[in-house]
Amino acid sequence: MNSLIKLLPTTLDFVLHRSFSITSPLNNLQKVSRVNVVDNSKLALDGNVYKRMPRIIHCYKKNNSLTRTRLTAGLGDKVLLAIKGQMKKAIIVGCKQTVRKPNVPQFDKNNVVLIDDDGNPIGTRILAPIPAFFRTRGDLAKIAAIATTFV
Amino acid sequence: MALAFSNTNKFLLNNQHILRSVLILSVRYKQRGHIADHLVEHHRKLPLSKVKTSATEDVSQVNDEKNQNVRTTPHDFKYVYPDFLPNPIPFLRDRILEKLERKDMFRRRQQIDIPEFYVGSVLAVTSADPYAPSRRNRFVGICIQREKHGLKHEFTLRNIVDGLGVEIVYELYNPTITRIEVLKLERRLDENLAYLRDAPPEYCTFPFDMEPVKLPPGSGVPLNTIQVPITSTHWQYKWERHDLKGVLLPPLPRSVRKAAERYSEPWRQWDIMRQYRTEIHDEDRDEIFEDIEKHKQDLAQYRIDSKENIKIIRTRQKAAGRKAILDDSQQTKHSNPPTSK
Repeated sequence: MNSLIKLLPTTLDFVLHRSFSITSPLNNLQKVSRVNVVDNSKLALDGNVYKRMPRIIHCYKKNNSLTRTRLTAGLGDKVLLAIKGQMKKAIIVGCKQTVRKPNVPQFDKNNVVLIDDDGNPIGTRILAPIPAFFRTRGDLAKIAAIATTFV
Repeated sequence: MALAFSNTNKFLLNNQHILRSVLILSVRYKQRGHIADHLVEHHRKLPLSKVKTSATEDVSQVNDEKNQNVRTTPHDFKYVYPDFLPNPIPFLRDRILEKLERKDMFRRRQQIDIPEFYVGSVLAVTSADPYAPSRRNRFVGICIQREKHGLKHEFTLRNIVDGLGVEIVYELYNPTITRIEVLKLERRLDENLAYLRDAPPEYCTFPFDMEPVKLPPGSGVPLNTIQVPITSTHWQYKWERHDLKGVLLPPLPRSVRKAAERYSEPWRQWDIMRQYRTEIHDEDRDEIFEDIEKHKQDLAQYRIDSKENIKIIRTRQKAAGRKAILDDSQQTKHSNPPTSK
């Protein structure tokens, strides 16, 4: 038993200091994460140079419940953006995505495209490559239509 | 009373004994780099491995007389086929699963040519995409890293498209991949090129219409000794701690250098036990290599068979010719009784 007591301080210390997280890793975008608007609309061009970077205020995706929204948003999700003192809806087009999935592109920046309340994109062209699986989804067809390159 | 006391004492002692053993074991599992001996030796004591060792001994005796080069695997084997090497962690190994996975991998390799490539070589991957106008999607990029074992083997390609860095992870044995081309066969100084994310963009830009660079026949794999400067202000990892050879670091402050020294582990390369645990041994490698050699012969036979099949289909006459034959056969039927073969 004495030997165990001698052992305990070092080993238990080791066990207690092992960091394990209880929440799932927040690898996608969340509230107050800053984004890069990839659009040729005037608001996007001005908003990227504005003193406060455009940032996410709210995520619209629902997590199997009618009331609560998800904390995180990934590729192809709709979010609410604070840009140049305004609130605008946007769709995530590129994500850094530290936990990577096969066949899904991972970008160096978090890109976003502005849309209006009806879901139509404000700009007429997207200045960055967008993932190829956007063509498969009907709700993102309007964004895929104005894209220049697919990856 | 005495009896009862002794009983409780015994019980307690027993319990203590169990507790102590369990605690020590559980703690030992969690200690980094410490594996119990019986776990290391577990797969060696299995009946499967016993049969294998006896078989290899016989083979070696025969081969020593005839030819010494038959059993020796090439030194580059583990670099050419890293996907065939199983997980070296002993308690995650399963010999039957490995064998079955290898079978599936060979079956996939019959369908498409999976070429030899390394971390640092430029690849082009075309995959099926039913929604694209040309029904396929092609991506070109430099191979940054290769990871996972067996059928789950993955490789990552990186390129810069429209001024934005893009990375895609591909599974090597994914059936939606239709073609893998090696545009530039090359090797770099490091096994992982993740530092290209923090390097200037000209070091990982490759045009999509890049022409393949041809090597002279019989030459080895060229080693590119380029040193990439790191210029970005926010690094993804602390590169100075990873002992990288292909990197030119900017001048660092003294505190950072000291910390790198403190966290460096120069004794790792002399740690024989660690090497033993993290590598696949020669006996297992020989077994895998024999399987690959057998597969190559089978593949050649398969190719010949499939070519013959194609020839048979091509030699089939067209509709007009077939009609004429049918008419002839009908005439012959009327005249002669049908012959059975």
